[in-house]
Amino acid sequence: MKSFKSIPVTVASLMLTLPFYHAIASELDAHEHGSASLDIAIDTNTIEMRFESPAVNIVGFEYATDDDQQLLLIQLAKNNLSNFDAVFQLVGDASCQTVESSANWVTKHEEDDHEEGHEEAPASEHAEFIAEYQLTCKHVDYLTAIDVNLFEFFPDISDLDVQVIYSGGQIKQELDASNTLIRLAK
Amino acid sequence: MNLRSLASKSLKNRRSTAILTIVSIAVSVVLLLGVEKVRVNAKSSFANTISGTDLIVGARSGSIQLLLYSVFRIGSATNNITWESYQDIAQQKGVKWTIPISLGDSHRGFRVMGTSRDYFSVYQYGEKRRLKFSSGTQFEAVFDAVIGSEVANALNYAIGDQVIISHGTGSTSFAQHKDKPFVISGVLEHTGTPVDRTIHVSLAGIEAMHVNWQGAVKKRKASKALTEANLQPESITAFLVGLDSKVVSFKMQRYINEYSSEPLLAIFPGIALHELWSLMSVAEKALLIISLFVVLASLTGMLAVSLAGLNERRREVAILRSVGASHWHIMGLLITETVLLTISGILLGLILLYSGIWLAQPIIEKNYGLFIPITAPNIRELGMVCMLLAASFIVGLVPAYRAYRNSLADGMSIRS
Repeated sequence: MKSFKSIPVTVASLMLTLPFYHAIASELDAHEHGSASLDIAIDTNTIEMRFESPAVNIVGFEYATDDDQQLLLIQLAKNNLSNFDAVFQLVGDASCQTVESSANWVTKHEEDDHEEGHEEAPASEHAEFIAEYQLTCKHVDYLTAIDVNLFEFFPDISDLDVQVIYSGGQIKQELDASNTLIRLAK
Repeated sequence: MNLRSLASKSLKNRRSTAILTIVSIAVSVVLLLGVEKVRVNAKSSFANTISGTDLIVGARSGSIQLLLYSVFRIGSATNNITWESYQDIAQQKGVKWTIPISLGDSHRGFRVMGTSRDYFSVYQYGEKRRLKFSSGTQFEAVFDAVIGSEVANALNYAIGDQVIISHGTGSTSFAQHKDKPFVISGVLEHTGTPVDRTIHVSLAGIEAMHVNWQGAVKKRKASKALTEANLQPESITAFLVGLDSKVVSFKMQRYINEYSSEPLLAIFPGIALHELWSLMSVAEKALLIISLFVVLASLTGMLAVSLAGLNERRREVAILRSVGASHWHIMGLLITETVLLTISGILLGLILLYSGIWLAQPIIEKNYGLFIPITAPNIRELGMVCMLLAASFIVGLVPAYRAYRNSLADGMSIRS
């Protein structure tokens, strides 16, 4: 029976460490390389989506550039991101049309919560890609799932935090390259 | 004589060890199913507490903390939000309704919540159910109070009774607002949510009881007429928001989170609840692992008892062999024995579990606000019981095999 004593101890230490780990992870969500976020709001035949990712996940760098090749990369990424039908696939016969889509390079000045600590750069600069989409649908209720193809275009995104607000509730889901489907249970 | 009656008669002969084995299995069943019942019911009671609210807004802290204090009355706020910010956000385009919440006072261990009259018409729980009055009406006068069903039951209050509210949230408080008692104007129907354990008063009421009452020291002097007009609060603890359309949810959240004049936090209750579960899942798994180990320990105990008994029972086995029982009969007998022990253990465990729930139900509900209904075991619980039976069958194979080997070797002779 001696060995049983160690199990509650191990479990207890797990319980102590894991929540803290979790708290830290969500604290740094603001700009975490490898991680991106996708917010989806659905109501009465309108779908609004907003994708945010550190630029390093999309083009591999975050500094302002005037290099032609890098500018081309940025333009290419913008084109891909703003093409809704390429990066997302709606499952179910909702008959949706993209009304608006945009993708932009946004620079954020952040001196405080910096994860990587480039000491040589005093005022470090973070850049993000923000893409926004608006769709109107004839039968939004028929939408059963959204398949996300972003990982194919941008393999540097290792995890995508998805939040969905819709008639079925408020859900949160984490996607990665092997799990790309957002299920919308009714 | 069939195997079952032979096994039970043999067990009867070894009553005390059999009963102890049954009890140890029963205890493990109680633990296994009890943990499962608490887990499932805690989850559903949390999920049923709030419905139809798009956002909860409070001072900037953690999303789980805000959810816990604003909806579940667990813990307390780090800071308040000003009335001006509240009014400003409430009047934003896209906001359908808001319910202010003001916490911090209590009455005999029950939290007092200041709110608006909209609370009773707008707040939803469970599957979009609204609050109903079992008697009386919502608060009209400044010193009216509406109590939840459990407050009414526990303190035996009815309409017209007076309630003296204490400063702070402990169950005993020396700083009491004795000069300004509240009168109960309504009692709400049972909801199975923290609403049952809450005393609701108007925001004006909260303000009024703190008028001429500074820093927990009462200043006795004639107070001027307390009307709602001059009782606008300076701050509230949090507020619930309903939106015209879910499409604006994220925009509104960003607007509030980036609100410039005050650090605010807006959360989606469903998503915050999800975050809470992912924290809790570690503890849930730990509990499950512990109860599985208790099951394992009781099965091991049963194995030890039946193996130890084998030596004493060589004669029994030999006699059975002499009257024509085959090896298979002997094996069957021992397996039947362990399965019989386990079934009795499971039955005793279920009896203990349900009588335990029946006895503890009111206590758990009063102290933790968690109602555990007496329901038949669900599929998952039945699955656990079946796994236990299957495991006992496998455990029974060990002494059965040993007895089989022994009966081959021993024949009729008994070595001393």
